[in-house]
Amino acid sequence: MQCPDLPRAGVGVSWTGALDPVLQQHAELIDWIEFEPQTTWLMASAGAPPRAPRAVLDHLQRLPGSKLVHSVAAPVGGTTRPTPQHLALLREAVRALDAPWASEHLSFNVSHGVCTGFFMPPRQTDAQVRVIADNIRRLQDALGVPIAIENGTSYLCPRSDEMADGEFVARVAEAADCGLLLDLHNAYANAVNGRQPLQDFLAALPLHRVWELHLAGGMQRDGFWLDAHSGPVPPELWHLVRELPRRLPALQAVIFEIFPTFLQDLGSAVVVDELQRMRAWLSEQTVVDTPPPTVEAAPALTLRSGDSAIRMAARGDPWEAALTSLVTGQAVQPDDADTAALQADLTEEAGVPLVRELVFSFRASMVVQVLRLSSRLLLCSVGPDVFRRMLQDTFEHHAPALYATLEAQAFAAQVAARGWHVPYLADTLRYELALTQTLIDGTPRVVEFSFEPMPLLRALTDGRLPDEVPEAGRFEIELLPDAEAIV
Amino acid sequence: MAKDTVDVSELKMRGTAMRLTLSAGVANDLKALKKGLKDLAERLGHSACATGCNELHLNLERDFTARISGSAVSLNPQPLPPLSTMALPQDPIPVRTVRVAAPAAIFDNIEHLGSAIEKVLGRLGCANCCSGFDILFQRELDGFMVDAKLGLKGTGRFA
Repeated sequence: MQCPDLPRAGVGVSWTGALDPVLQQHAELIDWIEFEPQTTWLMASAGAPPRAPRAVLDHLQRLPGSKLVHSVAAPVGGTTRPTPQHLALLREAVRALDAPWASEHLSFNVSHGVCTGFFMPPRQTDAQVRVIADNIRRLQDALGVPIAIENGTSYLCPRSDEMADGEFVARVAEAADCGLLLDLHNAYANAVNGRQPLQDFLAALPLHRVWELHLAGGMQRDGFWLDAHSGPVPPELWHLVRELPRRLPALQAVIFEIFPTFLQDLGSAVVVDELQRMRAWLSEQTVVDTPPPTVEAAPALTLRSGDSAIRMAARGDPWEAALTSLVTGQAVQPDDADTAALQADLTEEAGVPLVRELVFSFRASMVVQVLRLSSRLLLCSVGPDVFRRMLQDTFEHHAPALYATLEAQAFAAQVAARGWHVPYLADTLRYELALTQTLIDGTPRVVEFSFEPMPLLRALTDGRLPDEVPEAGRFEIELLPDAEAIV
Repeated sequence: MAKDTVDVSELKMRGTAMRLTLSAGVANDLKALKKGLKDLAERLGHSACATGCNELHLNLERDFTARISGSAVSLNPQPLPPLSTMALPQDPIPVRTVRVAAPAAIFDNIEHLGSAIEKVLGRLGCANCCSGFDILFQRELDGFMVDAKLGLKGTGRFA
């Protein structure tokens, strides 16, 4: 697979709306903007097809730089494949933005219909390489552009019955004949957490396949280094990769990733600084003019009936089932001997409790993002410990969902099912869920309150409870879609 | 907008709902919502209300249109009726729906659109899947705590 012929490597960012001021004020620093389409897709209810707002694509087209599409919900590392509707929306984004390639993660996020709530590492075996290569080819056919796969992060120990991280990524890339999105911070986190030293990992990769790099910052937690996209690139990582670009003849894009949550504290200067540093890093180096290693054309990968990989794909990988069950607490089929053995094995892993906490935190953050007022009401009334237990109870009874809206609906449903009575909570939840639906479907809604809502809403936006008990009575708030609002 | 005239005593007797209308864009944006509600309260609160009655307070809310301009919300420039001529609860009070509007201009402005997209869409879809720790929930937990005497205090970055 040849990477499209484009000018020499440039730099850019992973887009969020919070970065727009930086992108407009420092357009001269931006060669690329990478878009994660699924973060803006809307899903009104479980089972409904996702909807991609066209306004986002229109907005991105007006931003500086060329655009890349980085999928974050159709990972190629597992045995579950994305739906045709999902792929059609992805393709629409690729075409609208004229992306020269698309990228996805070498991870899985679903096992037998149960979402993991987080990217999980696949089994690093020969059989899984064949499954993944087949997934990549299918994804490429569906999107109509070359695919680059991103190496993932694993908080599990390396296993003696698996190949090492670098070899695994290399084998997949060669088998699928695809590009590589080399996430240096993922590889760095893995190295710090005891998997494979970064230089060994890089040495195993077919570096001529690297089209794109990701750089990000992380943080310490529970003895692990987390790929948290939480700030500047660690100095140690800069040191380790200082001469890497000259070994990457096909490199075209270097993308800095940071979550908008962290921009609030760090300010946009961190993004400008990292972009300038990345530009200097690239300009200082000349690619060593060595031809890429001769690699035999990968054989056409057709999984045949009877192939162990296709049998695994058909029944669902026990590894996926075991890991998903452990980190989500959900029962996942197949509940067979292989799955049980792997589950017993993984239970001993020091990283499993961490991943379980990451899944909880990720799900909780989705609830908080959608139900911001209800969350504040609970934090201020019943306190963080009880709120956390309410979330835990919800997550024990509801499997993770890919979309924040669905996680919020699950929490509200659990509040109702349990009959948890917290003053003003039922009305506040109803208001926020109605608001979400109006944002999604553009339909006006009227929400009834059994008390005067304004003092409560004002107080909760301040992060406190109202000073006085709200007046009882029948009140309504009508929510109008923005597009239909009267000017 | 409805132009009905209803006596407030009828409202009370019939239990007619008091309605405030918000645009989804404002309601979804906590800063805009806070600003809008604060402005309304300052203009309509008991301190500014000669009667101090809830009926007057609520009915006055209906006369407001809040507009979003970037991230700021301002009241309708249409002047309020002077306090001295405000309708008292026993008087007929015009009942109108208050609509909080997001002007079309916001969708034509790249900066405002980006802001709107971030506030509206970014938190409803499939969350960014990095492999690390999403601290949003922890920060929310760090933000507000209830002490043993049921008093509220800031923690973490709000300490």
